[in-house]
Amino acid sequence: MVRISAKTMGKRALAGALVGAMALSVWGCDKKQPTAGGEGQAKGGQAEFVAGSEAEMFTFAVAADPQTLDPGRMSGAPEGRIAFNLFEGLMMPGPTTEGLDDASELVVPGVAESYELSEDGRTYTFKLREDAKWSNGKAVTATDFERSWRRVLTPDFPSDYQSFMWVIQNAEGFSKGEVTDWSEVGVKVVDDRTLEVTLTQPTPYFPELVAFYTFFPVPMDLVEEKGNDWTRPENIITNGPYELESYREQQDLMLKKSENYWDKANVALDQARIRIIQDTNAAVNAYRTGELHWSGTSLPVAQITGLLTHPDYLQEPMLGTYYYRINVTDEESPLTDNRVRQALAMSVDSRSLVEDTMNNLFTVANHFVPQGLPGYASPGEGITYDVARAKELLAEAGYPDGEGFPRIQLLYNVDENHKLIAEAVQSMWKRNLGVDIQLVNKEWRTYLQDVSSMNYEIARAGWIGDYNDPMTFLDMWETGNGNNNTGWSDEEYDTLLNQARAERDPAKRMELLAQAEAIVLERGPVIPVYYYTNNVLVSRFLKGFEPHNRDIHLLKYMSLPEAPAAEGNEAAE
Amino acid sequence: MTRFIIRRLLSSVVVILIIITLSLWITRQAPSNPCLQEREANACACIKEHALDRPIFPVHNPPPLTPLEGCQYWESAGSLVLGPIEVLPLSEWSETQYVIYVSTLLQGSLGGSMVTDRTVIETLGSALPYTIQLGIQALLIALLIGVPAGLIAGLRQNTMPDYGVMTVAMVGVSIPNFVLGPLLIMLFSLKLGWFTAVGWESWSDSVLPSITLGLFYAAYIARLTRGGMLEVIRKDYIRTARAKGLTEQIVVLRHALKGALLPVVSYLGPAFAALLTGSVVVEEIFNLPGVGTHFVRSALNRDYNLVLGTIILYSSLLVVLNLVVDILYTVLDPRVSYDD
Repeated sequence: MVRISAKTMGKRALAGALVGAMALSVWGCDKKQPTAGGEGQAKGGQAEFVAGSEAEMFTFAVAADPQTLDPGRMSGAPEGRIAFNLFEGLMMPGPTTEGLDDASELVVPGVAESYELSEDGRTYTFKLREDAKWSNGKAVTATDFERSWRRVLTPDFPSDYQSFMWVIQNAEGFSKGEVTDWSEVGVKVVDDRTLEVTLTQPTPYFPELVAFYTFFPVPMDLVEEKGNDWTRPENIITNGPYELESYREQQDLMLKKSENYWDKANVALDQARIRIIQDTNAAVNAYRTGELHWSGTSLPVAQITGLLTHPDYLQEPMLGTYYYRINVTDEESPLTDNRVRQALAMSVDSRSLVEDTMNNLFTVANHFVPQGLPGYASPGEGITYDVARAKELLAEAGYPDGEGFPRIQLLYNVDENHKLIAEAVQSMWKRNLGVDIQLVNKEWRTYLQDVSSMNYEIARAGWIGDYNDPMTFLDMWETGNGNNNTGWSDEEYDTLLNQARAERDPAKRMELLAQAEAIVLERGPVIPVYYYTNNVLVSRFLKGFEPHNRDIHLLKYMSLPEAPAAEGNEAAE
Repeated sequence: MTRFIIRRLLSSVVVILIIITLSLWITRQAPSNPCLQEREANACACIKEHALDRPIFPVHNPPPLTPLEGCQYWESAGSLVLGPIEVLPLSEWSETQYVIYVSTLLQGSLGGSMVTDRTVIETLGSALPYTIQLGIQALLIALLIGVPAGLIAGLRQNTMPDYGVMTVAMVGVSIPNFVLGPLLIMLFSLKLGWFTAVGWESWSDSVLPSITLGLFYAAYIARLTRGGMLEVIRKDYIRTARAKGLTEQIVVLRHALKGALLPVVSYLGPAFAALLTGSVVVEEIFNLPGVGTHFVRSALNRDYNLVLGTIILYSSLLVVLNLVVDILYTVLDPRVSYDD
């Protein structure tokens, strides 16, 4: 009874959202007056709304209520966005990832004013700044980090990103209860201002990891006193540029500048309001009525098409890949044959998918690791669209022109974009290879269950990188990795990854990773479809908002010059 | 009357207990669980925290989740299994999900959400005032539009006003609120700028959602009122009232209306309940912080405690509203009596 009514209502809501989206996209199209540049459009009436003109302070949206405000336990995007402003780690993400050639530029000093790396690349010594303080005025010390990290590594602590800390010596063993003596874990407090971290192997992206919220310090005395209640607005103590003033479920969070923050002189926005707007159509509406300065989340495709020429529209590249994964565990299935997988991958025209099906909102993917990672060059051309070769491969595998090929299922979770892509791929496979596939769509949680228990044949998937290193895309295909979910295993691949882990020379390391990626593309369980982009609306008056491939935008870097509403449509940048 | 109310309340407790038992069982039968994430997550700690690896009932099928090696991955023990029924030894009863849940209820708590850090009472407590206010406003709109419209139509049967009102009512019933809502937003928020498009900050923000939600019921109430009026107006006591020389106004408003509204009154209980539970779509379109949104999301998230909390809340509201309607009936219709 419960499920049926929920499902029906969900369907109604979805249908409503769709109709709304269609209606509004038509509305958007009506308003469009194509002109040459942003300025002309702003003057020409396209900018019929002024971002944030109806907001009392800098306002942006997140797509859901934060599940928790505890950095050690959180895992979602809305939580992260809040945590990056309330808390500060040893290092912090920089304002942008654009044009960086050196991975070390991705992060900037946070609580640590500097760090030193030992010769063998395994020991980081962080020097903490003296004026780093909690919002109650107490100093942030190395012990705060040590205690917070120990908490996350405690066995049975419900942290989704606990495994990020496993690069630290003995951390994995400690979290699994195999190492019980904390002093064996590579986290040492030298003194209040010095934290020494020893890693199992050289990990060039470790500075970026400590800039991730799982590594942020939490006020342990308060945590021990209040338990999970420590994050309530009346209790919470933070160490970042902002403090939490209030939180109303399904409505908003109010942040105000922290008086005890060491760099408060450089924090321009005194206050910020984070509105919780779950429906992306509603977020666009709020933006259009001037209630938001930044839509916060990526917009629905149906709405974007009407906004593509708007001066507030911004497309950021994202460190993420949309792909199909293939289950290779069923020995009866033709999918265990690599030639079949290659044939399927080669007959997907990803250019057409991106250009025709997705209105150019994303970028074509020929590889699994997205482009633009500092120091990394993807191997060769990757997977290219080659119908002739695909047909050959399929014939070699015993299915000339698709004859005798069993009807396989393609699983995706309910979503308009996934459906469009799946239908297009279905027709490509039919047309190019003569292969029939059946589309199966399931609601999100059921889809998750099917994928995690490998109850599927081919399933859509998306992977957003956790840090700017190919490893975040490649280690998931290692034998036994919990995210593998395809049953694929390759000894040579595992060896290459392990060699890369031990490699001290950055260039050689990247070379090994590229070899590993080549293997995934040649015989892996993956069909890349497109690289994600983040499509948002951001007030053109907002300063300091720059593209970031992990969609991390710290308020600290932003400023909003006075009275944009009064200048209105005149001033366009 | 008092005895009637007490009896009804007692039977309501039994009804709600049955609903809880069934709902708890059904939520656990849905595939997947609240601890499963897209990435390999620490599902183990989550599942232990919420006792999801324990049997559901003292009289049971196997536990719904079986641990696999290293407590990293979990798999469903399979959906509905109707095998031989096994009764757990008494010492293990307190370890079952059902007993744990019911004892939480007896302590006056609805438990904690399995997905967020907040308690179910906290979450529903902050959402309920908005849903109730929205429901009341929508009901008022429905009554203020529906009753006069129905009266006019009923009194002028088969004339232009009747056809006009009934056509509008037909349209009103036919337009779903997921069409009406975006239309109102387009016109009054985006075009005219009179109202905000999303959220609920001040009273004016509730106007468009209330209209969206209320119009359907206004149309339905208009039809009910018309029907009631047509039936009553031909009754003997109305003829008597007219024969006594009373003015048409007094006949209609004092005598006929009371009888004509009986079907409307009996519809009010279910209508209000439907307004409260059916505001889901409207809450979604206007991004309102109400209960409906929580209900849908908790079901999709498999947040068992929040699902059950919402069901308990809704079923309690339904029981109370139906009781109120029954009492109201005795006031309007003297023939109805609940005294023994």
